[in-house]
Amino acid sequence: MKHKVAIVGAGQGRFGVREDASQRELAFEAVAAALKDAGTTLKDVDSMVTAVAADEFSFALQPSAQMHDYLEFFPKANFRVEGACASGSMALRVGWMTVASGLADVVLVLGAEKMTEVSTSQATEIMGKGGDAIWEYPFGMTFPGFYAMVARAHMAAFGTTEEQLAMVAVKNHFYGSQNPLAHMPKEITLEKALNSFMVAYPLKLYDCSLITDGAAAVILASEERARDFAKSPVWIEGIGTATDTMRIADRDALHTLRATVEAAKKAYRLAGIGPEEVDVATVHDCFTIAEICAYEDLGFCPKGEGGAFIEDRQTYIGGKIPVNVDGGLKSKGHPVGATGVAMAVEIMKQLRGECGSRQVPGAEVGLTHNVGGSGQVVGVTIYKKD
Amino acid sequence: MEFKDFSLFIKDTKIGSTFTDALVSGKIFGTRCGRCGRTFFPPRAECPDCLEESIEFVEIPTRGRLLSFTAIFVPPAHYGIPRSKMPFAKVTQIPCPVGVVEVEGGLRVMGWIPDVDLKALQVGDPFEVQARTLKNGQVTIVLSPI
Repeated sequence: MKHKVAIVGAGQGRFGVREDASQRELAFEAVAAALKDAGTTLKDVDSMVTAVAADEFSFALQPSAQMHDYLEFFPKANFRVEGACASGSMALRVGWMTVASGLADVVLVLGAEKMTEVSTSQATEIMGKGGDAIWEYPFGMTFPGFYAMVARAHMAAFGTTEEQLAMVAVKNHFYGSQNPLAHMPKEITLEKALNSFMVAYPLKLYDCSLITDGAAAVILASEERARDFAKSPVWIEGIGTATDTMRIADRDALHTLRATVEAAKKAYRLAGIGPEEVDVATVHDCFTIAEICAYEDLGFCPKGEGGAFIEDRQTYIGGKIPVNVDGGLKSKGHPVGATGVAMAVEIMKQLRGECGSRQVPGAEVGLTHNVGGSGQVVGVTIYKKD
Repeated sequence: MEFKDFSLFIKDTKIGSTFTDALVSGKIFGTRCGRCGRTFFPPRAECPDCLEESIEFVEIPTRGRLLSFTAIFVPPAHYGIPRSKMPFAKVTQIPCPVGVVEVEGGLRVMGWIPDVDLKALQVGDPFEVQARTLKNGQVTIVLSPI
């Protein structure tokens, strides 16, 4: 790349059912936290990129302008980026491009979503239409439904079990219980996960991530400006984006997210590293099966061995590669537009050693993996400690 | 013929009425590019390789294997049961499984799997895809074990 890009500040508000705050107030919490982390104010920021996945949750056009207005960021540039549940990573990519191209020196990347203003069944409908509205919608397909088909295909091909899926939930809730900003900061048992009600066979309640309100923000800076802020920067070393078919039925293999494989290849190549050099990762666990596929598709373990990988506790701290030690989408929560940015916030704090009881000791290289929809768009980003 | 309801938005497509009329007569139509011969299901009006609208409708193969399946226990609003107003009452829904069949030649077809025990389904089972007109006049696609 022409110019190197650093993250110099990162912040997240509390995730949850936030009946106490509007979307713009949630955004403000995250932006203020990121700016304070960097020891600066909006006066020092040149440009802004905002991720919001869906207008349908907030019943309003141009939600990003509402947040921009509340920050009083006039007359500087702001525009919205959308990539479903990967909107946050797409906004990070656009922010990175803005700095890497030399167009701006300091860029604010914000992700926010207020999902609980609609009922769960309406949210299920909105998200389900994230599939193909003509060809999948008539069969009542929902987001859990798509990943349930991925799960059945994975189980048939590799013998992955419902217990192994539940183990992902147990791990993520274990770490989420140590994250004060998590939506559902409580531990669960394997029995509780296995006995929870069926959502989309074979996925049960605890195989599914949460419908969450929340926001997250990072401040990006050019190499020239990276050391002008309060704390040491973290560098974006690799970034990759790839896409796949709208309908999961059209994919060569239902148990692999090809967009993850391709995005990871690009990110690893740009960073000049392989998966074995990653010390800590946040992956897109919108469903437990998605985390197991991510282990394999990112190269953390061979294809088909993801179930055994969690069973052997290789993704706990102390294992081969700690994954989602912030609680993941499963326990920390999944405010869709904010998720990709919140992943970057977590990796930033891990590489700075600020994560307390869930700190991965000596972490120097981090990775975020963010999936839009059921794999239609994926962003993988690799970060290095200064 | 009156336009048959298959799904959201299909009426306003270039393939809608031909596709749904075929379902009424028991046929499942895909499309084939008149120039390069590539076959599509779901049907589409243009070939992305040739950038042409030289498309003809063709019946797709109906026999194949079950690629994956599920059953949606928490349905979207359009298929949900309204919450019961009776105190202490519970309403439960037993969903019809849905699946994807890969038919001979490699096209993939999504459909309902009625009258089959969910626990008895296996990925790889031989299946047949069929057009079906429902009692309410709506047309759809069902998948049946062979």
